[in-house]
Amino acid sequence: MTETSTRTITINPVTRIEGHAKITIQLDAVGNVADTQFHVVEFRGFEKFCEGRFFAEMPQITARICGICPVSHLLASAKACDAVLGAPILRPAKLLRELLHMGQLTQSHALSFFHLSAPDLLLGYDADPAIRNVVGLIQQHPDIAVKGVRLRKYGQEIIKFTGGRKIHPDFPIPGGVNKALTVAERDEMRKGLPEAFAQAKFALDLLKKYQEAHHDEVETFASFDSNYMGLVQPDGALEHYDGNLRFTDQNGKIVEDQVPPANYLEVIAEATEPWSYLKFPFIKWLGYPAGMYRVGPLARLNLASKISTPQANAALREWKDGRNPVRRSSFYYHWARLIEILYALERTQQLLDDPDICSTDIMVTARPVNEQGVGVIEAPRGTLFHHYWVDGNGRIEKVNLIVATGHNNLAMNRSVLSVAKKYVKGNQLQEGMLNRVEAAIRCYDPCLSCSTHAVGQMPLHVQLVAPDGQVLDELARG
Amino acid sequence: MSDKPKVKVATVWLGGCSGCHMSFLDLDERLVELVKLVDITASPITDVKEIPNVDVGIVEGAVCNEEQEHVLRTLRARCQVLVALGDCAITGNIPALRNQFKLEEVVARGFVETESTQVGDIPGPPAVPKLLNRVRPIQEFVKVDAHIPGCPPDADTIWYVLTELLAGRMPQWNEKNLCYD
Amino acid sequence: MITPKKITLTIDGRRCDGQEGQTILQIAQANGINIPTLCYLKHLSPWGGCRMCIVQIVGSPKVVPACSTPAPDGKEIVSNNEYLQKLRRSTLELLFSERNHICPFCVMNKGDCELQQQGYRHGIDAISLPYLYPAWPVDLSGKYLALDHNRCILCTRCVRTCEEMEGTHTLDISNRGAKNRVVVDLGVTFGTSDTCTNCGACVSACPTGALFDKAAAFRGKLGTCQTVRTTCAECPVGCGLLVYAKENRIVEVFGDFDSPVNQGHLCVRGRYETWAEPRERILQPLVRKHGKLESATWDEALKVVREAVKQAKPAQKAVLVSPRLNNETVATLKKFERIGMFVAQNEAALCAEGDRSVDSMAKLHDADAIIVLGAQPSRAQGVVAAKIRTTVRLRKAKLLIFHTRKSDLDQYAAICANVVSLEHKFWDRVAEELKDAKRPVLVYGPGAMTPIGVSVLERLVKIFEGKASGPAPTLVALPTSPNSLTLAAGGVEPVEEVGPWLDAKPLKFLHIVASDEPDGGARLLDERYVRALLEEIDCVVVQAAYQSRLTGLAKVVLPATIWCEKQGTITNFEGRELPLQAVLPPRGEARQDLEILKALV
Repeated sequence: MTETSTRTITINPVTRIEGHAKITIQLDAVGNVADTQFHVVEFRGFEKFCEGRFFAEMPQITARICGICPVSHLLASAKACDAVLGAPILRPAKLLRELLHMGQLTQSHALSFFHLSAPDLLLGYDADPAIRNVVGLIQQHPDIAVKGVRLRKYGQEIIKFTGGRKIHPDFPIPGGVNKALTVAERDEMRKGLPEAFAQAKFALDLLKKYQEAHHDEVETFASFDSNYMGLVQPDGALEHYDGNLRFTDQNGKIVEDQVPPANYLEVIAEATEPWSYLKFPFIKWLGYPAGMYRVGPLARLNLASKISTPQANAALREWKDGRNPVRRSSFYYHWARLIEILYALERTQQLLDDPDICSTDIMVTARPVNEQGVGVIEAPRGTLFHHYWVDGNGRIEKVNLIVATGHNNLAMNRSVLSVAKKYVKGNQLQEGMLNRVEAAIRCYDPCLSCSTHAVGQMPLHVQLVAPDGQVLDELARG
Repeated sequence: MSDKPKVKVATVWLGGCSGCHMSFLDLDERLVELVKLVDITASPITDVKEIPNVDVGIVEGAVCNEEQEHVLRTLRARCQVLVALGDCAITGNIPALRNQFKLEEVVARGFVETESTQVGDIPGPPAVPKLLNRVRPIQEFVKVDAHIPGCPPDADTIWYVLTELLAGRMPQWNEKNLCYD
Repeated sequence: MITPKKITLTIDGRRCDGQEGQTILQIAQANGINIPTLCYLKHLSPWGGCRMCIVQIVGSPKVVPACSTPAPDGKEIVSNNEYLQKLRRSTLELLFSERNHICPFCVMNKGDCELQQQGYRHGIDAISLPYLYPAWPVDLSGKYLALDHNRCILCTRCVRTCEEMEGTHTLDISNRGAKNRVVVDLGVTFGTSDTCTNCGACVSACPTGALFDKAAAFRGKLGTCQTVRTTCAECPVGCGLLVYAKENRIVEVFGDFDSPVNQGHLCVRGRYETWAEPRERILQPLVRKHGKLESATWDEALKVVREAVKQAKPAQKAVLVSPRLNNETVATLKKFERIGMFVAQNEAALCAEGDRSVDSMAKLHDADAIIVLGAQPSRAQGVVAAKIRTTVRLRKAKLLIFHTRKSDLDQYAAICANVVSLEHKFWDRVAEELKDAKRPVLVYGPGAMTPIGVSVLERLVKIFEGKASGPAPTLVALPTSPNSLTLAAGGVEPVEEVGPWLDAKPLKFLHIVASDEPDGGARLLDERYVRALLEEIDCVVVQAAYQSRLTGLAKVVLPATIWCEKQGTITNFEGRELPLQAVLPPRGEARQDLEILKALV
């Protein structure tokens, strides 16, 4: 054993997240956590290799940034292309795109909760890694697992009925959408709503019981001050498809409101670090890294003034009933996700009841007139920006993307540090400790394929290593 | 409960979007049936980090960096039947679009030139894996026993291939079940 | 005439009859035997380069391409066995590995790509070759069409189409080996090409997503669309259209190969301008209230119009119609006392009754001498220009051009007299060129009706009458207006100068039926004084589909249907009656011209 002051733990790969990451934890001389890093290890390069392509292909190309939330990219991309065309889309097209989006919110949040995070909550953070996953859930709590599977399935079927396909539907296009909804399809979707509502409420109850039973732990799990960013409607209500940007500080006070999303470059910027392929967005007027902010379900509920649908709005009142004006603990991302599922289902019902939902007026014919177009949307994990520069022939000249999870990069690093400090101690590595550190990341339900527009993955192998390279302790998973 | 030992499966995702794994999850209720026959060991959706010896290895994604190459070779060495799942693993697909540009240009655009990037510092090894000069399909590194084309292949196709493999047969491809997108 | 000898061969054990001179593929297809192809298109000369249609002739060690091998009488052919399948799979693997054929974001994905279909048909789940990942460019500079070299399989269908159907030979193949690529002119882009006419025939010929229509991208898979055959009414040629539609939109338009007029070919107007151009449609009746045009119901609008009609004396009301009106609508016009059809300068004589050859296009195809007098087919009747080009260049007809503006046809002419000389020497030369003509065709347009045009005609007539042998030329009158023949025959006065016509009898009521003129009838305003004259009329009603300066100054605007919503017949320049078949129901409150006029009578 050496006398040197720091030792490094590496968690590699982080599992039950979308994408590829590793975590390194530096310990000080007495075994307390000094610092942590959350490294995203994938990179593909969409911002370069899209150059030269025909802009109408961008939704289909960028959909392949992510397989969980391709709909987010399809919609943000189509919106950016709409902006280049300079022509507004027709109302039925907007309704259909929003319907697709609600289907996505439902399935993605259900996946995050049931498939990726519920194993920790229901089987325990310290459970045997061999069973601490969705398969273990199916075996140990089949009724809950099946509810989760079916709720995700419902969301996927909304996407399929509306867009033609569950993953990477080629449905949103510049100027609208290319498939109208038939009456039969609409009625099929209506049929599935009651069961979906029941499953969503079941999940909410389940989580609230967990939160009550583990109140202190939940309140302090990666809990820290941060700013919040998200889209809101003109009256400040929760919004996922359109709207303008709102920024609040750590107390929920609105700092900037109704910023047109096309002006995003004036309010946020990205920094890079040599140890992660994921960039670090920050609020410009606060600088880096002080300008850390969070996006996604927790942030959206913190900054929304209300929700436009009744049941979700009632749930929001509960959310805003805490001792603090905002919910700070990263754990509450899970709760926010479930409230958003409720909103998505209520909005799905409204959309299916709209008299224009089966209209065939879904496309406009137009040519590129603007040199640039920005499309912004609230993806399940947070705000997503697609920015294209297109010439008059429709050729993509440049692309800039800021993807949802990216905004949370600083926050995720902060969360990892916070949880590691609390649970990782000394010279003995306990597997459950490290799982909790990963769980901090899972709260954000990061989509790392998205955020790095890149791809990569790493296995998890934890070693306690002295600076001279000598392995002091080892924990291999699996 | 059958006495037959469960077929051991490991899955990895390399340079892809995870859409193929999501399509796998679109098996929905069939997953419950599947886990009775199959033991999913290491996988991005389980917490088993080290790949054990398995019967079937399933790979999604193309090979974009050295770490992915390492994972791929490890899986090949530890499985009997290696399955390429999805177009990225089979053809390179969209991640391979970066082969039409110089790697330095791709990285420079992503980390220095983009309009929102203020502090431009290019990440690299050892903290993050080294990028390969060209993105390549997995068969350029290891022998592949079966392929499931699609972007992603739909759940029915995945189900067909898995059930064929479980029955000891190789899938048969024709106009009725092939799909390249 | 020599009758081709009958032959018989066996293909895959089946006895197949055919004619000497036919290829193995032609006989196989006629007998329902499906040999895979990629570079073959029935209407183009065979190339034999893709090697998909290879077959075995029993007794010969080689494989031969069926599309370009004359069928051997009495032989046995094998078109499908393991060996041939293996060869075809190898060909496909080479194609897939050579360029970047990424299906997921391709515009032709899911059923519209022949390369993809062949891959599925041959059970290709993966290839055994490494991918080359070359960096090919994407040419997006064309107004309506684009070329992505990444998806090209070098089948040369586009090259052969441009040569054999449009006749400009804009496309060819450059470089060698793996560097082969389709090239525009001598290495420019579509947007800067001097020869490309934007006819889009190359796109319809392309089997993959290499050549594609920008406006059609992702609007709908062709395989999921409904198809309707109708007739293009943009010019008097009357080409057959094959229209793909889905839900309430046009997805894409191609030429109808079954049409005897154009045999699958189109020009830029019928191929693109009707659906790929963003145009502002009028979807509701508009009535001017307090100086502004406001939406109104049909009842309201018709009331205003009927009132105005009632209040004007017979001599004070008139109807001015576009030559686009279909045959059925023309009948209603008889009810109006004073009607005129606005046509181009010098068109009137071209629309008058006269001998027309109902197979003028076929005569042009077979011609050995074509005279173009005072017509601009390259500008105004693109498919006639294509026919002239291909007949002259490929079938070696002589081309003589008189008294017409410069065009791309000039370069192919034996005599090109944009400005005509009256010298004897010149006309002796003309006579010399025409002396051996056995199947001459004279195409004449508005320019032939001018004094110079008439004198050229006289001289040509003299030459033909003076010839020792050979028939008189087939005369083809080529107006520029779509259905002007029917209207003229229906007694509607052709109005070449609208100003004087309006001025002749002062009007209180004028109903302009612009129908679906692409500019909403605004071309009327290009003539001097017309605008001022219109403004003096109490009530100007414009019946149009598209917004324009003309609709902007009307008192009442009545929304008309557009080309894909019209039903009925039109008569083309050959005198053929051709069907208009509606593809979509009228949008918004638009109504058929016939219906609107009937409501006013």
